[in-house]
Amino acid sequence: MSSGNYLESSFRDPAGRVFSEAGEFYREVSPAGWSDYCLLQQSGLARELIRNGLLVPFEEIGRGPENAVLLLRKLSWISYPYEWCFEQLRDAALLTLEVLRTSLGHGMTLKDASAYNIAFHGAMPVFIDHGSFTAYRENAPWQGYRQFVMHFLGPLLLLRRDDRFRSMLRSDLDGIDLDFISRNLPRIGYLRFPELLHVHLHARFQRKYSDSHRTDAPKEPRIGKSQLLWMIGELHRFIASLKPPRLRTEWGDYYTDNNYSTESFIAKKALVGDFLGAIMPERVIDLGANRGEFTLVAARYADEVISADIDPAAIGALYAALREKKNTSIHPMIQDLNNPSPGLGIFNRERSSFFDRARADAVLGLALAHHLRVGGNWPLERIAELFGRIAPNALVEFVPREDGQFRRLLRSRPDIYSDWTLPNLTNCLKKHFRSVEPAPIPGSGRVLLRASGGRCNP
Amino acid sequence: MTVFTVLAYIDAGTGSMLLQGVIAVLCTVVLFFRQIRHWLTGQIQRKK
Repeated sequence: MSSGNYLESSFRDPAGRVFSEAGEFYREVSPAGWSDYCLLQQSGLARELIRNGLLVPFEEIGRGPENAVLLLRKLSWISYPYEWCFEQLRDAALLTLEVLRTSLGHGMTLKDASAYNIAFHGAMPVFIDHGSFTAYRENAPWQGYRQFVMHFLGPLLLLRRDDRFRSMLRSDLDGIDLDFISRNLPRIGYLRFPELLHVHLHARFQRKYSDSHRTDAPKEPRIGKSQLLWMIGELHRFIASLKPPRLRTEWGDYYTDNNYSTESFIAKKALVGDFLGAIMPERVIDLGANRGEFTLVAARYADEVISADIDPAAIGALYAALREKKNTSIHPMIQDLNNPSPGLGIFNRERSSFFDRARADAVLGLALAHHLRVGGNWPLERIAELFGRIAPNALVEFVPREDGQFRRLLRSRPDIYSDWTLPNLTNCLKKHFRSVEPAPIPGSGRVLLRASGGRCNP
Repeated sequence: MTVFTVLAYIDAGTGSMLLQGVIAVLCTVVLFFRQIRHWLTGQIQRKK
């Protein structure tokens, strides 16, 4: 079996490519990757990694003299490192080291250490690149070491310093340059030995040896397996000790700082449950999910929920809670709707845009639309279009002008939002959905608009 | 004025490879002293 539907994200590796056919994903192992694939199977490494939940399971469905086709277990949702909170990136780094350590125990190693080799199955990271494994050569250094620092360790240290460095993960798909990382970390980091060694000294070495006029390959240094394992262990210990930054959160405290009485909040949850219970969706996207209070309600009715919010602190708190429960059905992600993830990489197709991925049976926009209108100056038509593009069913909360949260948004702005009325929002939603019904939230003055019959195909 | 080195012929990994050589030496030193510490601790505990 072979197909022309190769994934745009898998063209770089000569050892094999991933393609999709009839909704399933397959990996084609090429002759260049054949011996490594055989070793992955025969050494028992694949079996052990899959048994421990570290590697996406696969089944060999076809085999030639020096090639094979693997059916991969489908991951329903893919998010990218620039959409992860600090804790997700840290867990992805630790998983990479764990996979490497296990591989060395089976006579194999990882030839790269890209953050894009990791996907999240809910709150559980999993290694997805079966082509990354290669035979370990005695006393050979780890080829992926520099990439590991550029994709994981460096960004983690930068994120601890300032969360705005996350945007660099979006602009620098091949990882953040070592020199840049070193220059932008505080000097006190020189006193932390792992940071001094793996980042600052690493950047110096890289600078010193990167521009060489020599054309002959330098002599490869020797690092024994036990020494390599020591290095991996030290890296693992250091990264595991990194605590998430204390971020100033705009919305992370929303549930303790809003206008709802306990009764209204319970009533709102019941209305959300009623709406989703009538649909029984496979997938729900919760936009502006905050710490996921309503994501958890949605998860009772849906097979999976994508929980997106602009606030890294809120997503970090949700992820930590889900991780503790080993949740695999809720996918937390950072997403700024004013500037959503675009298509990136070669031909802008290597990494899909948020809206190319965001398809669902139902979308929730709870306490969100007034932020888009006032905070982002979105016209009402655009707000309605947002929901209409994502799912055929939408639950949109209308927050009236008298509401404290709305007044708070207007505190430092001129009120140019006279069109913010319930009938106007309803009419705009009706352009994308056949039916829009209001459901007042008792005791709050707020209204949930239940929209259904949209044209969007999930 | 800041002068930046122009990395015209980028050798992506040499520095990283060489650093791992340094780490290997470092590991040997650390493990050597750790073994001495273990040996000394063992001696002291035996005397007690």
